[in-house]
Amino acid sequence: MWIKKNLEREWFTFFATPAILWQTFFLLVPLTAFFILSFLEKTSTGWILSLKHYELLLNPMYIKVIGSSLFFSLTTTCLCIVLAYPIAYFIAFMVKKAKNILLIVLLLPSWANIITQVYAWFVLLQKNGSVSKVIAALGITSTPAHLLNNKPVIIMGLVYCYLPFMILPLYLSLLSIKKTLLEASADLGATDMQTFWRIIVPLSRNGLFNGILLVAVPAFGEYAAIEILGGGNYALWGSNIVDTFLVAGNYAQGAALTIVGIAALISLIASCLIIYHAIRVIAAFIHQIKPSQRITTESEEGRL
Amino acid sequence: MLLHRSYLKQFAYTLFICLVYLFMFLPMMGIFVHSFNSSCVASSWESFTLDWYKELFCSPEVGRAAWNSLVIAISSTALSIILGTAFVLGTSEKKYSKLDMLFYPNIFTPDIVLAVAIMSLFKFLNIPCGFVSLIAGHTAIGLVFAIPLLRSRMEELDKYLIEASLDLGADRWYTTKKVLLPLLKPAIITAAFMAFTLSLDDFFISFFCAGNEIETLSMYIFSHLRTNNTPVLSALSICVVASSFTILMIGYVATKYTTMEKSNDLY
Amino acid sequence: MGSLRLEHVTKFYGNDLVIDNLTLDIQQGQFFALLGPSGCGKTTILRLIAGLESVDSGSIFLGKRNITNLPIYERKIHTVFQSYALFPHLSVFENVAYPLRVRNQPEDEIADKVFKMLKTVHLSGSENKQISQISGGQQQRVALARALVAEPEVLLLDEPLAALDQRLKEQMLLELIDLQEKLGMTFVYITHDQREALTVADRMAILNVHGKIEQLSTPKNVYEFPSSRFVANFVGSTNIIDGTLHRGDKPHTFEVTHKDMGSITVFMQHERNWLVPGSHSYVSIRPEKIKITKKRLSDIDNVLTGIVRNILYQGQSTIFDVEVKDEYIIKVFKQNEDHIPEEIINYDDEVNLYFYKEDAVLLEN
Repeated sequence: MWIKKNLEREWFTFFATPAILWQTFFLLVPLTAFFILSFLEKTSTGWILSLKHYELLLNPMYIKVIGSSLFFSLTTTCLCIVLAYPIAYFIAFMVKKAKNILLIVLLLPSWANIITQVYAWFVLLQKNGSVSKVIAALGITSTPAHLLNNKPVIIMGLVYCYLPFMILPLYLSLLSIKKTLLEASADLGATDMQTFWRIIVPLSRNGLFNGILLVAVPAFGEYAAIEILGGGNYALWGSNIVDTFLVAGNYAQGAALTIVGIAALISLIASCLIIYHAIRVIAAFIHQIKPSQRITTESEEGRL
Repeated sequence: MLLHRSYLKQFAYTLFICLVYLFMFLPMMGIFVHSFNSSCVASSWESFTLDWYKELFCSPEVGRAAWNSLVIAISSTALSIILGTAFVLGTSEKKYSKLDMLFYPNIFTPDIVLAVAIMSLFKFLNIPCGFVSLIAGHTAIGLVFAIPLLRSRMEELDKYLIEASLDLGADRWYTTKKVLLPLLKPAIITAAFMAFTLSLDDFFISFFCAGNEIETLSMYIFSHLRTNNTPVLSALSICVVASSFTILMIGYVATKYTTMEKSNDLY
Repeated sequence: MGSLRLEHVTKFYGNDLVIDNLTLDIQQGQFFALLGPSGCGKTTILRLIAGLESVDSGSIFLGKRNITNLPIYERKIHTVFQSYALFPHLSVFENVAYPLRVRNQPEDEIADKVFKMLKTVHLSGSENKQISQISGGQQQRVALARALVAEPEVLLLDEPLAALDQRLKEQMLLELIDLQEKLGMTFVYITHDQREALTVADRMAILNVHGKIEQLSTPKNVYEFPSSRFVANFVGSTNIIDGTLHRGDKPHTFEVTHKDMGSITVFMQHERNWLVPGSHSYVSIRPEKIKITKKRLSDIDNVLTGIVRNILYQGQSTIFDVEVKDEYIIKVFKQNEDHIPEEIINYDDEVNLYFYKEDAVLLEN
């Protein structure tokens, strides 16, 4: 690349090594160790190679746990997409001058710690909190309502925390869409909705994908938020990890659990991608033109 | 692009946007009010008081936790930036482009995994967890965000500026210092902000790797959540948001005055 | 049907007046050019017609329909944008098919129309290419095809040839003329390049600031008989001499007396009410209408003498800057007709400039 030609590179590359070492030492090595550890079992005579940990994980309880985490992750991601698109579209295309301010204002709550954000909802939704009092006053329930400790509330809390992570990449990729493309689309007869689906969505695919990764992955590993809003009634992959590592101190089991969880997450994302591409292929197939016939007829005419 | 949209649609859309903004701000407003409420019960307003803030500022525990969080955030941000920039500069050749893949696993591993990994590592090496483990973890996170940011800015750079510098007689080290780094400055600053925010925001690394000696802000909040001292926590939360906002504003105004160049597509 | 009428159209951008009470008629089937300097508002006019901007006051009619409040996508007017605005994620075929798809036309009809249109713009065979794979000239054709495929009543072209090199430009100009004739569609072409406008237009309007129409006529009329100094200077180059106006001896003849250069005899075909004897007037003589020679000629109405100060060889022609009186420079174009010119004119030569009275034009102020 051009830097190589123009700048001494030997010692530059040397400077790059600390980062490489850091990443290797603090993530890659432990993860590999986990992988190896998950196949080891501690017995009274020492460590032996076994699949015991994975067998344990086949227990329906664990499957339910990972399934729950996947569910929360998937639902949160989908809701974030649905909410983020209109907002990102609004700030990117419908606002001329106040773009930065609107964005900062929208992202402001996310500067609080995730614990703080969840805690804020906790305070609002407590049994004697403001919201339940308002609902009681409106006559919907007779006594102050129990708003916490159910799935919708947890999902709402998660969406609240992760929405900014979906909005920002989406917004950035929407910004990069040249305005004349949208003008051309309208000029050629497409309504706003048609322009949205045919032009904006395809061109913001990258931002959408980044956003999905930034939301689905952390949401899968959530622990604290669900503890607070769910009152400890929901067992998830995250809480299981906490239990296995910190409470039980069973590192080998925990390692297996970690590996399985990551595998499940990657499978989920991969299968969504596969479904997406499959839909595209099928759609293209349906719209198929048969070019070979057409070209010979037309270009023959042209040569006359 | 909203020409001739029907007024109903326009109204509904704007209403939706307002509702979303309200949604984002409702909890913040809630704890904002809560932090000045003299009653411990969140929903009934008693009177305006600054007692909780006083308690906050007088509490040595909070002070220590805040100080710890700050130190860790600054150190890990600095490390992320320095290591990240060095990495991006050092691996700009094509033959090193595959090295970027080293950082890809982070995309699929939730924070909790990193936290557990570091905790296990330190346990295995028999090093007690503390500042070191926390900074290690936060830097690892910061690196993963800083490197793509810096990398994409590098790609955007006009290579002719480097060639011009060399053509005019500057040597390579001088060119790096005086031309390349200043051009990367916007990306470096953005990456620094991100790393700093992520560090303050973090929960899992603190939860797993803090050890017995250290407490960070997020740990403090989490552990005191169930006690009845809730208005103090509200006050603390407001302080955290306010200071993050202030830092960001200072950064924003500062960069405006040092005229960052931002190119915008005209079409 | 495909005729356009703008009636008393006014447009503000914030507090800035951009178009001031513009009234303009474009007939069906015309190749109409809007020519003007940057900032005169021609792009704004195009955008108002397309619907990309809304008028602050006034009306726009397409045929008999009032389209002033019609949204962009309902007007049967399509635009070829200066940057082409081709959709990067769609192939050439899909780009051209786009207007038909959004109208939910049946699949086989779409294929039919797209292939026909690609053939018309000489792009058969490129259907499945991506936009990034084709050249600038080809992209321009795709943009054209895309705008025409849904058979609009009017086609707007916003400086479509600006990004092309000279040769390609000339080729495309001819193709556009051909296409417009074949289709019989109304084309509205905006440009700041007067050569383009003169080449393609059936009728053209010269615009000044705030969208003010300085002159609206055929290209020949605009060039040979500019109505004002602005038009004379903007369309091609010219020499302007001012002086006091007198009537000449013969009918339709006028004399303009410059304080230093003497009298210029001008022939004006039509009487105009602004031709007031005694008033301060301006004469325009196009550089190609002046004969430059060291010889003495007789029987030509106007002559000026001067010193050659500058010679610019341009291949086809040579431009002479002749100083006639104290830094007053007259520009002369001489076609390089012969390999070996009969007369060699050099720097600092004293030369005579001859031109007929019919070749001079009096300008309205």
